[in-house]
Amino acid sequence: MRISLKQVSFAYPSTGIVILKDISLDLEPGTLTGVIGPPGSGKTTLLNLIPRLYEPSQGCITLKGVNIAHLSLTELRSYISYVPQEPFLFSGTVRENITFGNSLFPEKDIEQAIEKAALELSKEEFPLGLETQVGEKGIILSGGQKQRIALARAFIHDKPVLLCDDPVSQVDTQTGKKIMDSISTLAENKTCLVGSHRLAALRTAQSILILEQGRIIDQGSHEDLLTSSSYYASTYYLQQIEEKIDDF
Amino acid sequence: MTFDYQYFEEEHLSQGYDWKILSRLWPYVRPYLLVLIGSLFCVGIITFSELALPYMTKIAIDSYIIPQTKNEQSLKDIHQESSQKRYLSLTSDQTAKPAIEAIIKKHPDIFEQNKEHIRISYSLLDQLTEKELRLLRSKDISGINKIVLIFLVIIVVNFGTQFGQKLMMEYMGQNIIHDLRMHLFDHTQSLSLTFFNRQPLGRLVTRLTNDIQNMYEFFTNFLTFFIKDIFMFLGITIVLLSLNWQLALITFSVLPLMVLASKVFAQKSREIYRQLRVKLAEINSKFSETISGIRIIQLFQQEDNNYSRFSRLNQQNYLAGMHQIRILALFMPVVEALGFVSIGLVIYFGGSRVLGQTLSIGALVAFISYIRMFFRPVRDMAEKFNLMQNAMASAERIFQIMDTKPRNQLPSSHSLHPKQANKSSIRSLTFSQVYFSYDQNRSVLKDISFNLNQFEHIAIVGPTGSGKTSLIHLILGFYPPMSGKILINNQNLQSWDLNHLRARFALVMQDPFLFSGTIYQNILQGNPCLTEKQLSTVLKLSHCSTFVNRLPQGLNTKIGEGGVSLSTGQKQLIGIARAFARDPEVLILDEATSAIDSETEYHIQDALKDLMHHRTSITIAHRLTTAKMADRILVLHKGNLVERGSHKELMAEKGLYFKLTQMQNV
Repeated sequence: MRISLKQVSFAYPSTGIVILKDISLDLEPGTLTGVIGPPGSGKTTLLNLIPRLYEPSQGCITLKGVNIAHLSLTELRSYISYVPQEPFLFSGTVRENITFGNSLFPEKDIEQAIEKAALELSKEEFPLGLETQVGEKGIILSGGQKQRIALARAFIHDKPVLLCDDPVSQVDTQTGKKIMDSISTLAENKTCLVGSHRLAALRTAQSILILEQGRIIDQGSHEDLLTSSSYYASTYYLQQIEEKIDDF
Repeated sequence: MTFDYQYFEEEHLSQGYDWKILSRLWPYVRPYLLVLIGSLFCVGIITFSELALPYMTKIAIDSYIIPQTKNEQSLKDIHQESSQKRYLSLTSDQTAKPAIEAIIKKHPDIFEQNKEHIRISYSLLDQLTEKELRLLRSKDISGINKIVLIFLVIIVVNFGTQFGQKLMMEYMGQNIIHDLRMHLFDHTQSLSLTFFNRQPLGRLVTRLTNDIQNMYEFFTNFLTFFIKDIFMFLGITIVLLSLNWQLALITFSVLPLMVLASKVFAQKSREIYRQLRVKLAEINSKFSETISGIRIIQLFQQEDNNYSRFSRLNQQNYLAGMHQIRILALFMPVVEALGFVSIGLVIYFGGSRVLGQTLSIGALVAFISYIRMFFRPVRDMAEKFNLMQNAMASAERIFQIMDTKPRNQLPSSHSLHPKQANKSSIRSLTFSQVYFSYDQNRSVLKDISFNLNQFEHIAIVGPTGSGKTSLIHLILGFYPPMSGKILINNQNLQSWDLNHLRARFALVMQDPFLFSGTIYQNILQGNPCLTEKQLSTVLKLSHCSTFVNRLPQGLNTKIGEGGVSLSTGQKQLIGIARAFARDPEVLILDEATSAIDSETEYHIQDALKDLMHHRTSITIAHRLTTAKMADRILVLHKGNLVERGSHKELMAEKGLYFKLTQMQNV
């Protein structure tokens, strides 16, 4: 499903603070598009506009050529799978959190989703495996574990559009690589938009946008950007160092 | 689609715990003891006045409406003549009155002369005219008037004391709850972050609202009514026994059944009350969870699913509620029925006694009134018992929080005897073999030892997740270390008053938390006693003046929700201003990583340099150029302190730091 943004701007109606300015963008089916930029540059807002969590102040977004403002929320969202920046878990078991309590998912699919999300249900931390209670009254999970449960949730709900907001922010480099590999594979037959502050994670993306203060300041593949964008190059090397140190 | 999210009742009420809880509630009651005593005194008056009313009725009937002759002799005579006949006897004072004498003379056929008494059968009274009757019974009428007057006075007194009692009880209840809530709030604020990591928000809010409300019910409803019920019960028992002990015992014969019914009721409804409380908590949790997870619910289109889950919870709550109503609906008629049985018994046995002249009609009427009042307290006590159970359960939970030791067992900031404020300045900060973990499983910091002297500047370097922020958390006492020691001036951190200690630190973060309010308020948050002159110095030093002056309302510009949005750089400058205002001994800097325009960057660097001058500082350095300037560098990696020394030393060591700098130069 092709998604197009045409001169989209967004400002918070209450304050008038402009978050996104004049964004034009095409997301092609079967491709992975990455969004990078410093915190507050508008990555999350951009992702939130597609399932209409927010409505653009100007411009329009189309899905397969249809203005999404004309689609019912139910229909629009039935095409979209989403991994939020702050993973949210409900009180319940790991399984319930992944499937939303839908018992129609075959066991095999659940296992696959967990594997793709690099979620390891070790006996020590998840004594009851998939049936371990999590959330408010369950065990305390680390941010990375929550993030992977949220990913498994998005993976099992197989939709033509996959949106991920910083999906590897709270896991280590190795796990992050596994997760990004899964997302890249999934993207082969989906329209996929992934925001991240970790540049290496998006290296496999066909196209990467650099957002700064709500504007797209540069766009291209990883190799293109390494030569064309000083911001990209410097940030990339800085993060490379951090990753190398991590393996130190 | 068959599953329910699991919720657990946290704990059960242990038997015999109630007294312990009550004794812990005592300190909250003590300040209002006089009010409580006054209120209880009023309860006594109310009980007495309510008990007096049926007795007044009895006096009215027996002394004035159908006066009884107490004369043994005449009673015998009456028996001989006819046990069915009752007579109105006239005293010699009455017959001496000429008007009454005239009436007697006018109707010689209906008045009987019996020795000294002149009497008239009640059944023949209707043969007299209304005027004659009035004259004949003028004494009784004035007696009834007197009784009515007393009745009225009692009602007024009852009204007045009820009003006063209610006011006093509410005054006490509201005040106790006010104190208890403040105490709980104060205590909650002082708890360590570890506690909050483990407590769901909803549960804490429930403590501060629902459970406190239950305590309120206890202090206002339970305490007085229960005591009143006991007063009533005892009072009526005594009155009934003194009126006619045989009849009283007959009345009491239904009591065992009543007690049994109450016991069954109390037990059944206690279970239901507990169930209801759990259901309510579940509904609250579900509701709050839905709100916090609304984005996910909407994005994954789980509204219908969630709706049906909520509806199931709500249905369970409804069923539990209905169950409770059914029990109540059964219990109430049982009590009523037993009451009626008892009245029936009294009418049967009492009636024959009235006919047999061993009981006055007034006494019988009073008896019946008292019986109606008698079963109310019995019924209420069964109900109130649940209220108490409920309140005790709530109190137990409230005290559970209160029993959680604040912070690392430091006294609450509002303790009456705060630890002596240590006036000497911070000369050294020492970590000695410190281990730390947020969840007891994964160690975030391992075997950290270092020393920091006054006016020294150290930089902490390391990749994300190496434990830099955790280290700062420990220094500020947000968490206690798992093992090892943190010393300030060679004195354990735990022996310092945390509030005094924290006041000497200032934390400048890359994304400082600004409250919604004006810029002025946000800077003053660092030091509320800042003078006008000091403020302008602070603004200048922190390089805030330039951008603040450009804002339409200057210092009074509103920021945060509904206000002007500031850039990250501007926020940082305000954070620095806040730190200047505080004039701290030790500065903790979380260096910025996000891209800020070079002009702002220049301002920030300049302001920070001024701020660090003549202060001890700890900088979390993301850029190695910043680290270079520090006296000493600590290199953290995966929670371990892997290298330490000056830039020169570390470069010579050719270890991790060396590699870092090399890579950064690529």
